[in-house]
Amino acid sequence: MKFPIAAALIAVVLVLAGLGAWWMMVPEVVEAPAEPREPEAVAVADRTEEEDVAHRDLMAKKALEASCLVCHEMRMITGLRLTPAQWTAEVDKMVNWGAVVSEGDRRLIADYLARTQPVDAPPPAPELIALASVESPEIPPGDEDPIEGDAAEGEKLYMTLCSACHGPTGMGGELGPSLANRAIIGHTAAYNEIVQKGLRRMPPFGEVLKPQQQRDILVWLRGLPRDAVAAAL
Amino acid sequence: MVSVPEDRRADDSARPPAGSDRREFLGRAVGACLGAGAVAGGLFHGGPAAAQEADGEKAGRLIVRTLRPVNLESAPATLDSFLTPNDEFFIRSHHGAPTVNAETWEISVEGLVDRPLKWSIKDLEAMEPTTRSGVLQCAGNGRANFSPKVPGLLWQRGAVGQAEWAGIQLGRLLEEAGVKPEAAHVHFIGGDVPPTPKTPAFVRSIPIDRARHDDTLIALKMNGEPLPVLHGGPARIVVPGWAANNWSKWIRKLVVSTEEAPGVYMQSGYRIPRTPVPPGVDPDPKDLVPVTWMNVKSLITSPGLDAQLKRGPIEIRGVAWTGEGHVVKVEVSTGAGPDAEWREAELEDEPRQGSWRRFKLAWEPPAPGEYVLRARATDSEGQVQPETSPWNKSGYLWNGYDQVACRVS
Repeated sequence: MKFPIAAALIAVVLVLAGLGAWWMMVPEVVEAPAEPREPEAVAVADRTEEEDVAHRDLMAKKALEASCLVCHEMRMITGLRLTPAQWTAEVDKMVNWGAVVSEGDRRLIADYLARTQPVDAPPPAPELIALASVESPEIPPGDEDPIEGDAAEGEKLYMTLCSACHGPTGMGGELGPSLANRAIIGHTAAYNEIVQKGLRRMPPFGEVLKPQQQRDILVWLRGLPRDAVAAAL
Repeated sequence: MVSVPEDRRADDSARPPAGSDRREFLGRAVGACLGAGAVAGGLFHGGPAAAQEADGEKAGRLIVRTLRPVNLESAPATLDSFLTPNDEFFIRSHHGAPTVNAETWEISVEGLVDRPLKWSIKDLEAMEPTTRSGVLQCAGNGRANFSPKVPGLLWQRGAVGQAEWAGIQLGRLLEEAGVKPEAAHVHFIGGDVPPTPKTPAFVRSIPIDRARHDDTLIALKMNGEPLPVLHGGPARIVVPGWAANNWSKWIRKLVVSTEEAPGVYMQSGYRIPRTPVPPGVDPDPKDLVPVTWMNVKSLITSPGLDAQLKRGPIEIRGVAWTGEGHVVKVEVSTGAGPDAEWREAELEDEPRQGSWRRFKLAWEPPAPGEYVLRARATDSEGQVQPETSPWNKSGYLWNGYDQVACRVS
């Protein structure tokens, strides 16, 4: 085997670090949420009803951020004004489309949105922007800056550290969005920042992956077939 | 004023509170005036939103609906010309734009064809191009006006624009591949990747007759520039007269089939009942048809919402378009109530299927005060823009009278 022992050890450490980091994230994600409760049931001796509402709001916001912002930004939600039944239907639709939200959090989120964004509330003031000033990893760059890396090495690292969340073919999974063909992989700086610092549920890999290893993964991602969707259908 | 129900007249928001910010008040006044439409169909302009739209008109910028994925609405003032500049043109994305490399991009055709084929962008550029103007309008443009409210991005007036599209007739490519006689639909598969494997891909189809129509293109250029990525570059479908849900972006594959495309975006999204059903009633699924032809519609581009005008001659301008046929008349009312006089505006531009026509009307306000300008278009098929559109649960094809409140001093 060509793999030197040192490298094997590093790999083991990486796996452990990755798993550790992943494990640390797990409770936030799959922790059984509080049973849906009526406000009366929640009221405990040391909390006022107001505090209960504030607490539930906080939990709802956390759940929203963890689950909904994987795929889109808050404005997708804050722009809407819906009835409780419509909010429930929207949350259910998103769960069917892959959002990971526990049964309890579903209700928590739907209740929160129905209360804070009721059907009769005025819409938020929209922001204005000049297209040229939009700097977003959602917008593919005109030219990807060329980077040097070893795609085979990148694939191994990806399969070990990334595929559990982002899927073995980069098409996304339960916890991480797709990366194949996505604009983000054209933005080296934004990619590096997310890999190094983490983002929402994603742990930071700055201490786990050397800069060259991060580049290796990016080179592999960029080499994925560009007709991923057509191929998957 | 448009007739306002008593409870709305009593609404404090319609009164100018002493010392309050005038813009904010006017914004609310616009909301209140337009709110009159809530009786019949419902308008959803809040004060701040209206004021912001006016700001956008002045700055010539886009209104942010979401930045991830990128959904931006044009400010109506930027729709004042025959062609809308690319960087002021609205953007609708279901999933994020894919990475694009025009050098290696290929478009294939398969399914019920004699010869499955593949073309590079260079191959397509070497073919004889077809160039034409065409209105692109989101099926949900004006969704914010429906009452009761519906889920979906709350586009107001500017999810529409017109560009000059250049590309290859889709029919020509299909002919090269040899379409089998039983073919009935062409599926469009883009390069945009859904965020998770459970999220449906944005796959659409149009009937083979529309795909073969001379008007239908795979566009490579927009207003003379290579098609920008956010507008579907390097290649998108252009179906003049049909709503934007049919204008698939980032085309990678065409599949010729006996059936419509499978999946949520074709089988349940972008469908509308043939006969309107009231809120709360589920339409018969057999009665749900894909959104195809646009309906007749006008947009006042000047004055802008909440404009503060000086008394004197004012030019009211706008654009009007339809699906089948072309616009033959635009009428503008500057008065109030059901008896208000409607005057015919002067139409510019050649009548052409799928293109809009600009209109203008000279107006001299008789006195200072607040006015609501309204516009309604009529097309060559005899369709007249209604005061409000029939409600549908996804908020498609709003084409109620366009309304702009302004103040003359």
